[in-house]
Amino acid sequence: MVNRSSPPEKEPQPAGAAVRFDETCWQPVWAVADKAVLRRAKALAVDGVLDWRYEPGMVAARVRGYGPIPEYEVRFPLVDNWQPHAERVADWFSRHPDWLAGLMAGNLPFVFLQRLHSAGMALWPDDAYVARFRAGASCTCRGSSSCAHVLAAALAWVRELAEEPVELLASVGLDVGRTLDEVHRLTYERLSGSGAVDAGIQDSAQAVARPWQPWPEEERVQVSGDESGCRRTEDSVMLSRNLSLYLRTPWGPV
Amino acid sequence: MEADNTVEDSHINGTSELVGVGNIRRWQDGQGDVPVNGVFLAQDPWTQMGTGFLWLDGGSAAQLEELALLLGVASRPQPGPFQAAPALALPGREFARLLSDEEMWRQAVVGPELAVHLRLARLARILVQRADVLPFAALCDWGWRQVLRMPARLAQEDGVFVRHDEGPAGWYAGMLIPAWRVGAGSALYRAYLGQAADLPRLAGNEHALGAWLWVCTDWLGRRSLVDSPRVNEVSARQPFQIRYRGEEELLANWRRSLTDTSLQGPLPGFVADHWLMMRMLALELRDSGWGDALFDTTGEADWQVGFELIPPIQDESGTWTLRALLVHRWFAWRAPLAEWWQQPERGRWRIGHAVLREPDRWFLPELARAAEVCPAVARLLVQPAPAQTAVDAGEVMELVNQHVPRLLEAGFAVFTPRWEHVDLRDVRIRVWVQRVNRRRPAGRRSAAMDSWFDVDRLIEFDWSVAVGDEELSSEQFEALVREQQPYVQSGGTWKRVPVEAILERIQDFTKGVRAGTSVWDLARSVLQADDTDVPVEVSFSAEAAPAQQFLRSLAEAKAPPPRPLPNGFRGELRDYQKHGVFWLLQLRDLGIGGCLADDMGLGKTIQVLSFLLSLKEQGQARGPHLLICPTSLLSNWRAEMQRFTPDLKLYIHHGAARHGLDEAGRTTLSRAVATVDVVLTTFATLVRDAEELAQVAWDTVVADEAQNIKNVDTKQAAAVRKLKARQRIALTGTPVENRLVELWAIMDFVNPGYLGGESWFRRHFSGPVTAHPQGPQARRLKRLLTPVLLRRRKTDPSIQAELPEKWEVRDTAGLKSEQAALYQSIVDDLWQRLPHSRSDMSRRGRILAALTRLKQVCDHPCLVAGGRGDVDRSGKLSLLLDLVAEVVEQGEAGLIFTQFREMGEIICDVLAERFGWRPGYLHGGLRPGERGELVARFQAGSPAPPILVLSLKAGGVGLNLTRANHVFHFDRWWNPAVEDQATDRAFRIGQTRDVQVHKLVCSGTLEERIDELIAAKRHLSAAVVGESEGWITELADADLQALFRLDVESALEEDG
Ligand SMILES: [Zn+2]
Repeated sequence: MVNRSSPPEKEPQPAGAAVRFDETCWQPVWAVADKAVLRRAKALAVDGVLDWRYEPGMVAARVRGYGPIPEYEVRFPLVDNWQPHAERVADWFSRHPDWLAGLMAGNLPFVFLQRLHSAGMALWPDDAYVARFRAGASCTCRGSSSCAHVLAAALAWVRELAEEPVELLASVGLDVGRTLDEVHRLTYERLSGSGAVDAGIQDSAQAVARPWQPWPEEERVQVSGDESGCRRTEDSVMLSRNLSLYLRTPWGPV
Repeated sequence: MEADNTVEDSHINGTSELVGVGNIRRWQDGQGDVPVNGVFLAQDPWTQMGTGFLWLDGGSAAQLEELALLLGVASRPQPGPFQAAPALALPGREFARLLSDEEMWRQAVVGPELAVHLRLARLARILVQRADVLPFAALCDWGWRQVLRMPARLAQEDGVFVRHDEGPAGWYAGMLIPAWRVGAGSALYRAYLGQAADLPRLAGNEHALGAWLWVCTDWLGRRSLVDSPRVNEVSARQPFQIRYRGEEELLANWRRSLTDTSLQGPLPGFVADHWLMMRMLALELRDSGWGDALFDTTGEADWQVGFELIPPIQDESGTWTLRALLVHRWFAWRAPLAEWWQQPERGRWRIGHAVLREPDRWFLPELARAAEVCPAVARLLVQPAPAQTAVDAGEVMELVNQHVPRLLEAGFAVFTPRWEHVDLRDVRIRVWVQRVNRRRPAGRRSAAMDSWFDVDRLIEFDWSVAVGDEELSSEQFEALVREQQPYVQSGGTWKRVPVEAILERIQDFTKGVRAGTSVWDLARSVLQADDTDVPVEVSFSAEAAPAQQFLRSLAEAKAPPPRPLPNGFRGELRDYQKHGVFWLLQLRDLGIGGCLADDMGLGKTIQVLSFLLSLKEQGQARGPHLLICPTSLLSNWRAEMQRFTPDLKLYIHHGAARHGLDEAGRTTLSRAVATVDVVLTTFATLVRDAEELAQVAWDTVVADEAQNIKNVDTKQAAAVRKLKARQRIALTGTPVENRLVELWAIMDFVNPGYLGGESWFRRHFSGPVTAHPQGPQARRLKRLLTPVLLRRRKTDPSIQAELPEKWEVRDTAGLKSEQAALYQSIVDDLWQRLPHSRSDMSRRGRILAALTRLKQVCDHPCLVAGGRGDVDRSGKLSLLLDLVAEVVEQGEAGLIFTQFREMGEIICDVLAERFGWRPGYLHGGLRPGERGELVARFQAGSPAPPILVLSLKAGGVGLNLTRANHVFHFDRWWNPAVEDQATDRAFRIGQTRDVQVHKLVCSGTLEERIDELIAAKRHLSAAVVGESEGWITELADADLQALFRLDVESALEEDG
């Protein structure tokens, strides 16, 4: 794999520093786009991207068209494929939970990005990716590879990633659930290897028949937010103004 | 899983009136605790509701029949839904009725599936009880899955989805469903669903449970619907809203569909316009709790990340622990994060009754968020299997004070140990004074000489801090501070000790004075204590009794006991003046100084004179007293002493004569010091003769107009501080308490060290008090000043009661040498030319002419001799300036009357030069319009100058000058009636403040003598002297000579 990922171009950061993921991380791609096209793409990205899905190494999206063509089919390449590194990534995360947590919060620890960099892995575009993007992106509008539809799809997709940063893992070809499973498994194993795990913690006592009685929590719901306490009136309450529905309340004790 | 459509419900008819008659638990007791189980299976379309099944896990068919009898249901055992056992089948509503009878099910042994149903039925009952339900409707032919999703969609999209396929209207059915306005209710619902998902027979069938809750809610709700007697009344108050065609009908149909309470289905339908129906539904769903979060299974909706701060185990390193955990928002369910990593499975986490699915999806990013605001959390998060981290004792304070609030603000739960947050009132600082040392280290300026008690003596003491029932020795407390470990454990709870507040108080008397703590320091600390401060309890050993007595007396200084007043005092003291004398005497006993800061005109001078006379009569004076005043007041002091305390022998150390030596080579001063009671000098002379005056061991040093020493860097301040005295007294009429640095300087003169060093004072008081004039430091300072600063204001009600509404003060000035020479020449000239016949008109004319000229000379020599109207040429004018300055500084206003037009101009010039503003001048030469404007401007208050100058004659014209509360008669009309008229006409009725009338008099001149003459026969004067000054011309020559004579010694005010 070619080393093409680099941490964001910022000064060396103190420990604890982090980089927030948002659409500016994709600046290298936006920067090379035609200004007018990018402006149109931004407008289109608000509600013109109908849906998107992952295909091997690609994002495929449907973008609203106009006139006789109701929609365009758009494809552009993923930034990286971490699939070959899945184990290593899970190991990293199990040793550095702050990396995983930070990623899931969209606030990526700088040391994590440095590690990615030295491993030749990327989470967002660098110059090499920009070239791949231009070469690999396609659109059924038959325009250029960086037509407004492609850019709009990329923008909408990146914005969704920023909303749900854990999906950054999916954006580099990892299965989110499986990655989290693996991190948990490694953590658990390390703990049990050290004897820190209590034996027999699992239960499924639920399946047993037992005398039925109310939960204390239910009492809590009964009284929560009820300042008047026991001094309740026997008046009926209006349930629906439109329907003139009245409820006799309260009943006696439940 | 849907209900088997073959289930027949015909045999259910007629059972609706049967009531459950038994307690299931009791029945089970006789059946070997055979568990009852059951489920509700939803049936599409949703109007069919569904069917409930009951069976016995491991029981026989006969037992099931028995159960049917017990429950009063007509159903016979038939194939159940899970091929497990035969079951009883019941229509949805009957199942709801049965399962919501809690008495029947109490303590019954039930299978886990039935338990979930019972809980949902109970939840439905709670929701109805809390009226947390709302009316709903959906198309009759829809399936449950579709219908159950609909409220959330409608509520979120806040819009309408219209069915296009079959026309504008369709068949709808109504149902009462949960509204989820009570947050804990939906939390409970999610907990039930979480449990159900763990049960194989219910997993994947959540919609049946949703339907079950709806059926229960609907049935229980319908039974509680009532016709309100107030329907019309209420609907009349409805806000106006646009009604659509067909809306009334739709609402009526919908309403009717919700009131049917038969036990059998299906739900009745009604025709409604789709668009209208969706609109009405959206209205009903507004403000409900319907939304996607309702179906959350990860726990994110109900749980939050929390942190628990765990105190160190006793007797260990003192390291605390910060532990991460998940906390339920509504219920007391929580689990430490450590447990999450200790379970091999990641899919679900059971905490309490809840099941969280893949909760790391939300709690990991939450931890990252927490790490951003709390370094300890960041530290926790870098460790594999993040669960907890150590917190050093030194970090705990910062964590609690800074990070915890940020965590709470960011929405995290934080648990700290049961800290009884110790109220300051539960804290005591106990000071035990063991001994007062006889000697104090040299090097510190002593305020007192050989008084009965030396306040600078050092004390030996010990202190401790009591927090509730716990007593910390000074060593323990200091360790607490050193280790930044502000917690003490007491009876199983942790108490957060308000270390800062305690430390501040302790430093009051332990720090600042490196050489040790004096009685003075201790007194200061105790005195300034506020209600909000940590109380200091001081106790004394027998050896320290003098210190105890000192503290007690000091605390009582504000209310001194009455004493005998001096016999030789020629005058009458008002009550507050007596109080002032007692106060000075009390301070004398305590060996400390004081600042008498009464408003001008309240008689500070005679209080001090009475005090000094008292010392003399009681033989307390150990030497002469030194009285320092500004040059302009020298004559006044002398005049007042002659008038009120002639027994006090006075030497005025002033003027060229003071440099003389006698034949024995002694200076005038040293000779006087041995014989007189009081040495009077001016600040200017003091500076010149600083060395000589510093040699004398004074008894009392009084600094009049103490603002003269407010600036510590000045020569006069330095000279005053160099004086050795047994007691120091400062007099000032300006509101010192508002000028903190001046206040410090004055107080540091009377009681060196009492307010601490200047920089300490600035930091401790000036800054805080300026920023918060009503704040705690201001209160502290006030308390600290209480014993040593006596300030009465004319506006104090108790003082006002003693003052006449209008009272007169005679202010005496001296003559400058130029004035004295002129005066003497006029008098000489008169005697040379005066005809002797009393009736001679020219004699009268000459006398009156001389009278006028003499008055003018007293006013200002330039009126007679010409030249510039400088202040320096007139003693009276300098005095006026000082008096006006006081008035202005107090924010008050005054009128200055003069009978000489030119004098008025000079006064205006001089005031303009001194204060930067020029007062208005009201004189006879003005047109009425100009006068009116002048008066109006003055009355309007600031920014118009607070002084108005008037010619005596112009002043009497119906003026309304109520802004002023001071009247200065710069020169005298030797007829009190004329003066009174001028004063009274100027002050209209409605004047609320007391009016103070200052009559300026030059000592040793006819002004002084006539003033005394008039004062002596005041009650006669109006009748005797008439309107003019003519009566003077009628005096015999001898009387006249006595009247006009210049008493050079008392008149002359030399520039020292
Ligand atoms: Zn295109």
